[in-house]
Amino acid sequence: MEKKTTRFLNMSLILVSLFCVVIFIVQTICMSLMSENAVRRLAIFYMSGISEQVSSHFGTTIELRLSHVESLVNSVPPGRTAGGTSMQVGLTYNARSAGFEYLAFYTSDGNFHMIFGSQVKADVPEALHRSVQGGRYNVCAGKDEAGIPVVLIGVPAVYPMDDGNTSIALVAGLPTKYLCDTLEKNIQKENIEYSIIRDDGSYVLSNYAVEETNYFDRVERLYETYGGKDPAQYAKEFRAAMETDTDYAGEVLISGKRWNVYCTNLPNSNWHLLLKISHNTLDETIDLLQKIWSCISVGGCCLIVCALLLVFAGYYRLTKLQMHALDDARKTAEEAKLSAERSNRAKNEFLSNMSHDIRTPMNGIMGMTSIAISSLDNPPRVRSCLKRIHVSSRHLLGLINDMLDMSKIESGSLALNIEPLSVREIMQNIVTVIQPQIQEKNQRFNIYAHEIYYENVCSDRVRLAQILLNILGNSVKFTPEGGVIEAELYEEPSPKGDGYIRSHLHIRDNGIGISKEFQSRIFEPFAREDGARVDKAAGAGMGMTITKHIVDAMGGTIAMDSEQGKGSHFHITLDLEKAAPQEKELRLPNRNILMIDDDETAGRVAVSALESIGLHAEAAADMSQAVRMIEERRRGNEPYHMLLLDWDIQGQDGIGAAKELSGRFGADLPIILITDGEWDELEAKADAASGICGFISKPLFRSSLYYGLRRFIDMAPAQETEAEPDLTGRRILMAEDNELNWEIANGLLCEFGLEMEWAENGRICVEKLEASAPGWYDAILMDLRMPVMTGLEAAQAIRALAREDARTIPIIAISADAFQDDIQKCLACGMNAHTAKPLDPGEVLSLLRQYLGRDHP
Amino acid sequence: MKKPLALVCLLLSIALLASCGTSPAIETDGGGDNPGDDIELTLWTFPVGNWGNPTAVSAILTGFHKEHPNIHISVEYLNYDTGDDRVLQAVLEGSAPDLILEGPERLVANWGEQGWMVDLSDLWESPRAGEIYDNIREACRHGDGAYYEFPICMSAHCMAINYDMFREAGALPYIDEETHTWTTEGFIQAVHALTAWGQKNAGILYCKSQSGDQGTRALVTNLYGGSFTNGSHTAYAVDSEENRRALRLLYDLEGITFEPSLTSTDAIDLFCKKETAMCFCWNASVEIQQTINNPDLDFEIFPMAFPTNGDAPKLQGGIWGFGVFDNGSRARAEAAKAFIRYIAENDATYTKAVQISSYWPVRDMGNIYKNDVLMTEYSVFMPYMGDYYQVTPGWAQARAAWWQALAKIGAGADIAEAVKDFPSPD
Repeated sequence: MEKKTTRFLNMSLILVSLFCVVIFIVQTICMSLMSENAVRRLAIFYMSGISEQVSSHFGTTIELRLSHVESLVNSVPPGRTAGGTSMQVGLTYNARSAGFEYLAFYTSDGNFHMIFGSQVKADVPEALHRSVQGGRYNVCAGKDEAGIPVVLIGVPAVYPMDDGNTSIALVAGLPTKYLCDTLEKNIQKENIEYSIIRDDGSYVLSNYAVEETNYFDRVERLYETYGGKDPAQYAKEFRAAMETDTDYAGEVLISGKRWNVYCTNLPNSNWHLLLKISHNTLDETIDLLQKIWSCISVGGCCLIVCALLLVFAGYYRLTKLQMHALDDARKTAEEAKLSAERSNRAKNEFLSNMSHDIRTPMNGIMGMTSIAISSLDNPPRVRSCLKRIHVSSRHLLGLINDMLDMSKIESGSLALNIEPLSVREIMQNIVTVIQPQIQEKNQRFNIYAHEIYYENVCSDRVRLAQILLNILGNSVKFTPEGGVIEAELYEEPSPKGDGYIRSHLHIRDNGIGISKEFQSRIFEPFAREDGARVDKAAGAGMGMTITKHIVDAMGGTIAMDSEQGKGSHFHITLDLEKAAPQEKELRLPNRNILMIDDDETAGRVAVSALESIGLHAEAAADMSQAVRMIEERRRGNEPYHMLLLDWDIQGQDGIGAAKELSGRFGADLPIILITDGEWDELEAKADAASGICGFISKPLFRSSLYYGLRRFIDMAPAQETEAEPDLTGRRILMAEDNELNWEIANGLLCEFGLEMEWAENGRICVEKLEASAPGWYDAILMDLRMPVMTGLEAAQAIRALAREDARTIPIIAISADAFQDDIQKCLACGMNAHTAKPLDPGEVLSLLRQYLGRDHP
Repeated sequence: MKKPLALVCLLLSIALLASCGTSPAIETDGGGDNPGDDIELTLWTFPVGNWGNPTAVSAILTGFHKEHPNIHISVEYLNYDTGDDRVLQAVLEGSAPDLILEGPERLVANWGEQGWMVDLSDLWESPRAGEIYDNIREACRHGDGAYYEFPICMSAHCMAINYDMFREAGALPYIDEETHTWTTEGFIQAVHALTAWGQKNAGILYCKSQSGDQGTRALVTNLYGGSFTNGSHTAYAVDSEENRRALRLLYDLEGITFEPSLTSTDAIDLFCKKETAMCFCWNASVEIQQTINNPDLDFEIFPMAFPTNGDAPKLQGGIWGFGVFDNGSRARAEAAKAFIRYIAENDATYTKAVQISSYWPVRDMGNIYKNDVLMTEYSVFMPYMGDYYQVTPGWAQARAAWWQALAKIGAGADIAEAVKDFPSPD
């Protein structure tokens, strides 16, 4: 397309340019031809005009001169003079006054008797003679003694002469030059040749040198055949024109040069004015004009071509840009199409996967439910079914949550609920949550937290946990059994300022890794890597997309490095605002502590953390080393005050190892078992013989070590551990229109000693609170979508009640409307917190402890 | 897109139209300060022969314009009654002509003296100028050495006799008819013969006004070799022995009378009416005029030089030529000089110019009046042209003193007393 357009533009440009050039060439040729005709017409017009002027002026001059001679005659009337000196003086004086240079009596015998001036003679005496004898004026040509051409004007006059004879005419003369000068005043062109000739072609005068005495001889000699006419033809035409007293105009060729000739009759004479002008003279003017026009035309042509070139260049550039833009758009469209196709395919796959992923747990739930119903008489069987139903339900809930999150992301409504939180709590919860999956796959999970000086930060606890769970979940999911998963958390100063810390989270695994192709689109929605390797891994392909969007929303970064077959490494960086207040000064009395962990990194991190809270810690990588170190300490009289023992030491059960140590060094050496999660089962196994006096969960934060160890170290009472609020006997009013939900909540929460009371809708909730004594209810759990009065309305109504506890009583929303907007609406209506359905007893209890603990320490 | 394209088209159109257009001609006020510019000159002429006749002058101008097409000359024709005032007024108004045709007494002694004229010395450097008679050259040169006139023509004032009367009185033997000269003694004898023949008034010394005084001055100074001024034109020499003797002769000579009541015109009229046998105020023009105006003139006028005591006659004459007023434009002055050169440097043109004046060349041109009997006859006097002393300072007063002196003598005053009161040049 681009080539075709370019070719078209280039061809158009060439054709238009050629067209312009051709047009201007044609114009120039036409101008040349037209100028040729113009020269011819102009020559005729020009010379006829000059001839007319010259003729007119000649006639006037001759008439004037005739009148002068007549005046001469009248001044000295022939019949009244006796002649002699007096007569001649009179004639002389008057003739000189009239500017004549010759004056003579003309006698019947054809002689001139000069009165003054050189002797003259007529060139054609017969003509003069005939005229004056006939009583007519005559103008003729002649010469004086010196051969100077003169014009003689004869007027019949009979004067007595000195010799006794009489004249027949008085003839006055002027130098022909005078006449020429007078005529040239009308011509005033040096490049015009003119001559006056008689009827027979003989010259009267000429402004150029002539060898011939007769113009026709000159024609015969000089004129060349031109335009189909030979010299004889020219001469014939001249004669014919002169005989008929008509003007003649023609173009002749002399010595290879073109001339324009014009002949016209002069009045009061038998003379003819002959004008000749070089064709080049006229042509030069026209030619100059034509050259100027040609230059202008060529210049104009060049300008137009340049303008065209500019326009074409601009158009060409524009077209190229448009073509590039079109190409880019096409590529973008193709990419978009590919993306859409990929997205569509991903969605289809997603739907397929989702269909599978949803149906699978649903089948499990339904199947297990059926089995449980049919096995009511077999409690272990029922318990097993319920456990599977529970697992499937949580999996299903996770899928639904992911779908909701994706919906928020795609609609751009993903919002963060920033609040103070403890990184330690988050991490411990994550470990607790992920641990069962790890144990299920018999994987090793190492988690390190070091250089964490600011545990309390501001962030969205749910989303932060979601990030960790998504990545860790993938690691667990795509790491084969027996694999290793590591999580490392540390802090450094944030470039955003002192109010922030930069938290780094590295999650590494030695799983199947991610292909290069999939790495480029791992964060695209619904993307799942193809291949049999991952088919058996459950998931909708939304986790990483959600993770990426959450990290972006938090202003952080997420980087990934993976190699197929070797594992993956995710690095998340978040600048988190420090929360106030931070933990109090964590300092314990200086005690010798031995950390026993076959994971050297874990040991080094733990030693560092222990020393940061004032303890003197050392690490041992295995049991034998630990034994040696303990013994050395004892021999040195600087025994360890406490041992921290990893729950799994070189494949040996931590309890067994503890028993071994306790057996060897006595039960008075406290041993704290470091676990990867809940220690309920371990606690049950541990007995007094094991020497285990406490448990601390990984990761080992400074605070967790501080609070975990201080009860075994002599401390002031003020440093005793703050007990979690006891919720037993607390009255909770729950507004819930769905009776089943109420029963579930009641069943779950009553187990923790809470006294639950049900309100069927918001109105009843408000009324029950109003009817109760102040402080009767400790908290309200509020559904949002209820008949009569919604949860939001009820919360507002409660806060508006005129009773003291109405403003302070904690109201916790429990709703399936779990979007951020919904949460914000709840908070705006005066509620204290929001937790999503299905009801999570742990979360509800945590919230209740959070709010009731403050009011009821 | 359309607007820029339209703008480009407009610019192209303007460029093309501008290219096709012609720049307007630069009009000037005729100053001609740039070479090749048209120059318009003004020529004022006193009626020196036919130089007061447009028909005759146009022939000269036509030829000049042909050679100098960029110089245009317009002519204003003055007369002697108002000419001086006209020139004076024009000079005062700053509109003096570029060229003027007159004689040394005005061009040199008056306007040149005033500093109004351009020095024409460069014109005098040509070979043709070198042929001009010395006395003419001297007349055109101011005392400061500058030439304020370039002469064209001259005329010698002479006297005339009634040839018929002389013949009848038997006085022809006292004149040289070939050279038109005679001696003082011949003059005396001729007067005696005329009176004896019965012509009581042989000649009249008119002394009513200064008109025609050149005749009486020439008569007196020629008789015994006197002069009117010194040779350097710095002092008047009227009161000299030669002049007093001449005046005494004339006063005492029977047949010659001093007539305080007559002018030169009266004397010419009396001569043409044959009341006198000779006229002391004469020249070719006078004869032509008298011939034309008096068709009944029936005697032969014979022009004569003034009688001398053996020396060559020294006739008073007129010199006419061109002067150039200094109008502050070098180009115009050069153009005016070009006109003078055109006339003076070409023999044919010069001859024409002289013929128009009806006078004679100021250099030897031979006979330019072929077949013209009268002009040929008068041309014999040209070699007798005497000193042109009219450029002597105080000339106007001296002229007045002259005719008044004659009048006093005619009235019987003592001659010596009558001629002693002449102005002394500053």
